[in-house]
Amino acid sequence: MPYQYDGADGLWWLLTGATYDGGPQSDPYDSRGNYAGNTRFGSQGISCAGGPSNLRVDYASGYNGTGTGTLRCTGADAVAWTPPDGSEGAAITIANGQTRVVCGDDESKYLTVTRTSADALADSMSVTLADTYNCLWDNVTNGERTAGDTEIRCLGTRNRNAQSLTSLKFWLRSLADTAEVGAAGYAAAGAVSIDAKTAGEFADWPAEGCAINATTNEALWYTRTTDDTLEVAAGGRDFWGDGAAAGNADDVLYPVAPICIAAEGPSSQPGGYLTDRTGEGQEGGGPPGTLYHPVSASAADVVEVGTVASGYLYGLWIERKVLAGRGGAATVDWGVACSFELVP
Amino acid sequence: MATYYGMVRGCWRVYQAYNTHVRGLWRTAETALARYELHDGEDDSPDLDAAASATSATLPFSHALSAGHTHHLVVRQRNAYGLVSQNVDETVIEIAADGSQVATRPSAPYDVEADAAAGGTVRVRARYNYLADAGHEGTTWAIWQTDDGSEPDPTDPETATVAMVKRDGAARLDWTSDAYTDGLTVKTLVRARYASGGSDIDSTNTASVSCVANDDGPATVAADAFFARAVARQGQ
Repeated sequence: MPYQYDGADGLWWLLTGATYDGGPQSDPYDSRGNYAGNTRFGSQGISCAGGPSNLRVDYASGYNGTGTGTLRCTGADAVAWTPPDGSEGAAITIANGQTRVVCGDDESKYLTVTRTSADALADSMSVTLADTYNCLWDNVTNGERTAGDTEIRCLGTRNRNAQSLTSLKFWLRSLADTAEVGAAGYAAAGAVSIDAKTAGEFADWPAEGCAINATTNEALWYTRTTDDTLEVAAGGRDFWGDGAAAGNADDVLYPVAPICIAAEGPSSQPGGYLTDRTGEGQEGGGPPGTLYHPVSASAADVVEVGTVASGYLYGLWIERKVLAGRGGAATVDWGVACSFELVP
Repeated sequence: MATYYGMVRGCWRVYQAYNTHVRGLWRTAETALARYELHDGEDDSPDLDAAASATSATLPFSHALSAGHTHHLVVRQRNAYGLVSQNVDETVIEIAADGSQVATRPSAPYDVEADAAAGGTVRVRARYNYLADAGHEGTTWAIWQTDDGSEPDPTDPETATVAMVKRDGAARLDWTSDAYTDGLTVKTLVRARYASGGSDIDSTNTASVSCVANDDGPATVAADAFFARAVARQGQ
């Protein structure tokens, strides 16, 4: 997929909060419905070193993940992309002034690059990708932490491909590998200690955060006390109000951000108008529709839009909940995953 | 009879699945995390990744230092997000075995050179960065010399002491010794020194520089004699 809007680049994430479709709006904290603006959202933070000076990296898909990849010039007019922890994809040719998409072996891992002069392309560029702070959510103040806090945002997703895309789904990105509940399980109510089925399964989990039991759908606010154990206080049970339930051996736990999501179809297309929460403060209003916290594309509560015609827009509302009394943290990850199908 | 042909035809599309992620980070503040953290390294630089030796929400705060050790101290500030400052500069405090504080020593002179000069003398030059030792800066050059091949011993009486002249951030020593026997190896140790409470506080450097005394040349011409000769020549 060497061209813009093809393949994974067919779906663009946009900040909302503009007063008209495509209008100016670049403040992520004001991205709360109304119209999708002219600010593309979702690029990883990009830092380039070495390589051709006449090749500019404009966008890095979030599916690349974090780390350092290599943009290798395979000819005077050709480049290929090796994503972090990935393999090199097919080389693309790019002429002076062109903007093209270059993919890794997984076509969902791609960069958008622009060539800025006719000088021959040469050498390799190291491209370091990083998650960015406050790209959508502001930091949680001490007051919000102690009292608890709920905020909302809305992102637009627009089909930029000439064809309709299908099977558009959203769910919460798992922040680490999943883990299974140990043989002892845990009780249906009150404070519990959850042992991992396999030693060390919680090692790469955040020190404190939200876990969802994919079997019971209960969200739990945990503190990781060891690589094998999560402690959940009574107040950390049923984080999203779906009902507490006993955990059984082999139940799969997903570490996710304390967010939940809902999709909104605009009242008109293609210049879609979404529910406007821009005048109600970051905490006000609440998202329209029912919120879900699906953990995979196959989850029963996956947020599915289905088919999106060329140029059409859908809104994805995200609510962030800060549990009162949680601990401070230098870094809290969040992420939303999305999949769709498109003719290559 | 004619033969007629019919055909049904069409096409289909093959869809490919793609994934996108939107992701990012935020921080959560907790006022109780904000504090000053003291790292105390005994006789070595502290491990700044280890737990702090002492903490306090405010400055100043107190921390007891164990006797008989040189303490390398670093204070860092942690904010409400748990992020800690990255300063590494140390304050060094030496505590004697009896629990008393040993005065902070001046840093060592640098660019120390010793060259054979006229008439068997040795010319010694050195520099000292007094600004870096603000509060405990040296005021005197202490010089030891030997001509028997042994290393100068700073516990012996000095060969000479010279008051420092400080200018532009550096004190410069340019001192010439008494004459030595031709051919002897002269070793020279130069330290920075200041006086405190009736004691001399010296830098701790021990490396010497050496040269071979040489009395082949004449004694250095005195500046005033050179000046007088020039005046006399002008008068001719």
